Amino acid sequence: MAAVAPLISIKAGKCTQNGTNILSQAEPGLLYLYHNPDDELLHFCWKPRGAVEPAPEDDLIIIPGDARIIKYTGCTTGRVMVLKFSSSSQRHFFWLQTKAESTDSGHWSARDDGWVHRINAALQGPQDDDEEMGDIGLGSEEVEEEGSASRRGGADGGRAPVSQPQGQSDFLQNLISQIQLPGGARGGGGGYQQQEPTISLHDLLPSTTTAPLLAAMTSGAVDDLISNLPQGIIPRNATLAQKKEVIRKVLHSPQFNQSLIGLSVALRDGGLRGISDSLGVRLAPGEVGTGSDQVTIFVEAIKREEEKKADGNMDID
Amino acid sequence: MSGGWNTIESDAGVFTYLVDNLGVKNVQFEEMIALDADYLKQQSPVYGVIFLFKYPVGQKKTDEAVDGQYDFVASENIFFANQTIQNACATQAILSVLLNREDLDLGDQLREFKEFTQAFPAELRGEALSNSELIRGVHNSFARSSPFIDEGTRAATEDDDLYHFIAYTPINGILYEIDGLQPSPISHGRCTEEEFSEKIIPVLQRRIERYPATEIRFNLLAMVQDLRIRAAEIGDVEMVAREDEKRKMWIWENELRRHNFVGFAHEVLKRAVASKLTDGKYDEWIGEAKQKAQDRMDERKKVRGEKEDIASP
Repeated sequence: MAAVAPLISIKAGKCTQNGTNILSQAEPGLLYLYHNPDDELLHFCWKPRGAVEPAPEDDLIIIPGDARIIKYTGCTTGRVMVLKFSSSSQRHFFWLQTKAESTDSGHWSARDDGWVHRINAALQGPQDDDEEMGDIGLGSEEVEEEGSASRRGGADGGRAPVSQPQGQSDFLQNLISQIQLPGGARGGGGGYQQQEPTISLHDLLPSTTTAPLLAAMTSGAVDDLISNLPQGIIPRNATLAQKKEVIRKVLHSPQFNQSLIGLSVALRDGGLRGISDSLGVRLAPGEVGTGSDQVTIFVEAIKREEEKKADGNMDID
Repeated sequence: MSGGWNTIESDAGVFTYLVDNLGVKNVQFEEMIALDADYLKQQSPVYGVIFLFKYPVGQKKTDEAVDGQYDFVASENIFFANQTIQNACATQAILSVLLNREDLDLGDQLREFKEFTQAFPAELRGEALSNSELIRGVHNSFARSSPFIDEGTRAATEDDDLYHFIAYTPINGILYEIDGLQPSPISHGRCTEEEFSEKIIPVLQRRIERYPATEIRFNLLAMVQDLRIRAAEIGDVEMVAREDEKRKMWIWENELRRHNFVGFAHEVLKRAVASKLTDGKYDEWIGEAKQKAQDRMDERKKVRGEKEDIASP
């Protein structure tokens, strides 16, 4: 097989499993993904860094979308991550050997997060807008600069990191409870969490924000909002004050707040494109799938529209 | 199995209007805040109790009847259905009480359903229930509106709690526990209608005590006669007014439950964004939201370290 440039390649070591213990191996290594032109499959490989042979020691074939890397930030002795699959219970543990940015050896820097994110992006297989792939470092060297914006997005599907484990078995216990989550939506509730704290829409609409907003609202805006509510809850011949009261009650209701949480989950779970299209919210080309928080992208898109309106001196309600 | 069943909330307002929409007259639900016989008696006549409990996936579920006795004969004579669909279990528990009483006005459709399934064995009754367009349709109309997430077909994951509904009701002078996952109804001994409020309490207590307190959450809903009826009979005008207000609130909540808020949320967000931009506070506003999310995550880390259940954000 002719040498092929990897999609991504980073310094990482392996870990082995001994019963419920995860043991990291000291040997310096290289974790890389590449698309094999012979079998046309995505390969996830590890080899010792000093190896003379081109062939990897470990070579896993990945079905696009089936696998993901999840980092475990509860471990203080290293930056450990695990490769897991939707289609099987296989798990492979690795630890980042890239230069640590902190004396705290368990700490994940923003750049470290970026690596996890890029591996996950590569694990999805070829995408339509592949612009991200061109940035990724080639060869076995870590690329120090990736362009100015380090893309913090969380690693897909991971649960928020758990607290410091008491011992190896706790470490594994927590790790397992984290990684057995499928990356899917949780349905309305608050169960879905990413590694980084990304915003949830209900955090943007506390009463400190909505109360003054409502107070200042003109009747045109109020009617716009009212028309988006179930008509059964609007009193007949309602005055402006009555309509505002209905809106206020809805904004405080558990049902509305649950729906905001559900909407945030849906946006993050691949719904950004569909939801934006149906609402007429215009996203910048290639924005979906950059790995930035999808909820933030959504709000930023709304912001762009509002800024345009302000510039165009259109009426802002 | 035709069609999906979505999850519905275990809430007095949801259940009351669910049975109302099925055609049942003069029945409502009251949340039992305390395990107290006197409290329950005040809601008389009490037709039954629906007991919901949630436990984390991975917990051992007690499948054996550790309290009471299996009554296999009873499963022929009373309406008892094996549970076929998890998401239908709330409605199934409710029907286990409704269809076993002779003193209720069930409305035409449920009466027909009862007659139709009278001679069926338990498994077939369960099938008939899950295939009933009427029952499924009304049940699903109370499911939370989530246009993106198909809760009906989502399999339980580590992240979910498993939940289960059980009905308790006196039938033919015996206190029965009706649990669709059990092979038959379970008898807890003799019990008249009048004794039910008293005798149900220790039965529920023993049930609750089966589970470690930290790992289970439960909810008790009593099925009772429409409270306005007795209040009107004894001339308690205030009570009637209070109950009317409660109904209005339930109707309002149910309207919100089934509403798709995406359009409304977008309109509110647009205006909130515009106002923050005008005030020059946009970045600060986003920053505060990120901080809240971070705080929640930190709290979860702490709580999980203490091995407790996590509340939703």
